Amino acid sequence: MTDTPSRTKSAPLTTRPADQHIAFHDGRRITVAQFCGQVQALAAALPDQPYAVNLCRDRYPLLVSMCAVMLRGQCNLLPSSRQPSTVREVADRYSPAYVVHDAEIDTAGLGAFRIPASALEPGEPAPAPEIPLDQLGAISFTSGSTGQSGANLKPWRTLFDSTAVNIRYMLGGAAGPHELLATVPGQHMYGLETSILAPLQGDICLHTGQPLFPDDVRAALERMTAPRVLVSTPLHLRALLGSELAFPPVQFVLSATAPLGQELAAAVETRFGASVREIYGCSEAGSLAWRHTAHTQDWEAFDAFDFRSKGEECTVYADHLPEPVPLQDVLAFSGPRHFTLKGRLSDLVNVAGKRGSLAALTELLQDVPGVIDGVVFQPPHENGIGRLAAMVVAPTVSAKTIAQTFRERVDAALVPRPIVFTDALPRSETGKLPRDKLLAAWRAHRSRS
Amino acid sequence: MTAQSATEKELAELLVQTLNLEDVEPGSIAPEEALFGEGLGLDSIDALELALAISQTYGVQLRSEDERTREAFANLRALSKVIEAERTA
Repeated sequence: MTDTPSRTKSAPLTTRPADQHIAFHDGRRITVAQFCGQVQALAAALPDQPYAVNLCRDRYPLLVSMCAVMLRGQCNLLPSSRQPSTVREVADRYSPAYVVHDAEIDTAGLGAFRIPASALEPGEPAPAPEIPLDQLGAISFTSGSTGQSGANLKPWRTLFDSTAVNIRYMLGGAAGPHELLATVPGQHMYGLETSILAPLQGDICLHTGQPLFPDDVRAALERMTAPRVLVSTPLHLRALLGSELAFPPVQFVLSATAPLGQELAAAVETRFGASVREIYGCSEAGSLAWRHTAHTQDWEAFDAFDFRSKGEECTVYADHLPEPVPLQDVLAFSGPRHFTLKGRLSDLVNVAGKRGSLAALTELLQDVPGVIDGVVFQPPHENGIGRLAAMVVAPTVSAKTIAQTFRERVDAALVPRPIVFTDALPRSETGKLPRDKLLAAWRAHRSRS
Repeated sequence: MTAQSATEKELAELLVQTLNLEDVEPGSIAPEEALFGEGLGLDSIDALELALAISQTYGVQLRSEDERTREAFANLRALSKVIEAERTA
């Protein structure tokens, strides 16, 4: 491979003016120059190991430590959860690794570096350092329903270039400075792109926390100045609407991880006075397209990506991706850059950012001793905010035993509930379980209970 | 196990109904049993659903940034104390 002469071998950590605010942390706003100073100082203090499992809870410590790890020439490991078994698994695969964290946490028996609070106080300003483009900046892991997590390699080139593209589409060229709040974890690819990397290039001031309850979100938004950006998921947005609280106006609400739905999008637009931008992407390739869900079903592909279809399968190519990424969805193009989603090639589901395969979860259910037949599926949302459920034929096993088996093997978000017992599943003669028959049986059971 | 108070009993019923804990008898939840992790094994999605149900039933908004809510979600007794305090505030 020959070098492209127009391309340099490194890119700056941040492209923003030194005096803009990059984050609101611990009650104060931090400038880009102060942030760069903190990154430089922290990089020098980190342990001398090639991999760092980054388990920071707050967003600003995560941003500073991620950048410090990269500046030191090390690679961030971003596991799909903080469960010690998951942390252990990624550290065994990429070794030697230490844990970098910002709060009391189970570090899975690994060597650990806790970021001192003093490292995040405004100190000596510094210019933006350069990072080699081919350096592996992070490995983002997707949760495997069973077996190993999938590892997605993110060289600095990928992180740097995709951030520039994301900002262009997510903020639609609107003038800043924007203040951004996110309800999703920063380690998850969608949260990473929107809430950790975006402030490195966009005129965005990041709010450090990760509010959960509607009143937390309201209080955090109240503390911010307009124009506000809220990065969230359908699950969190449904909870916000259900709370009947009054929220301050938000310019952009971003949503991803699960289909948003036109009605929910329109309701969020009304309640927040916002433009709701739904993001389509995957951990392997990052954000790929967006749509204004309240008004259209069509997704607009980001121009940095080339989508090539072959039958039902579609693969994404981009200069900044280490390799082409085959997509899990069936895309129907209505124009060169516009498409609709026509369902999934596989049976992957995403619950609160945790990805699982329904087939693998169903297999796990059927393997529980005493279970004769069973299925794990995603029932339609009624009043709840969206959890997997199971229907099972198992006269001698309790729901508690089944739930316990799942809890030991998969992330809590993927544990089905309720677990409903039945005499038989509505299987066809060939043994298939049609979704409409399954849902009818499910509804019949729910209306009885 | 100590007996459930009236508010605790009501909350236990709300919890079982909201979270579809069909295998759990509301009366069997000990007021001091852990709700998350080891005890009932609830997670953050459950916390969100439960907070929503509590706001709709009692008009009380829970906050996770608030140290007291973290403690409140420890068990039924702590949770009912927070709700009673908020309701009379």
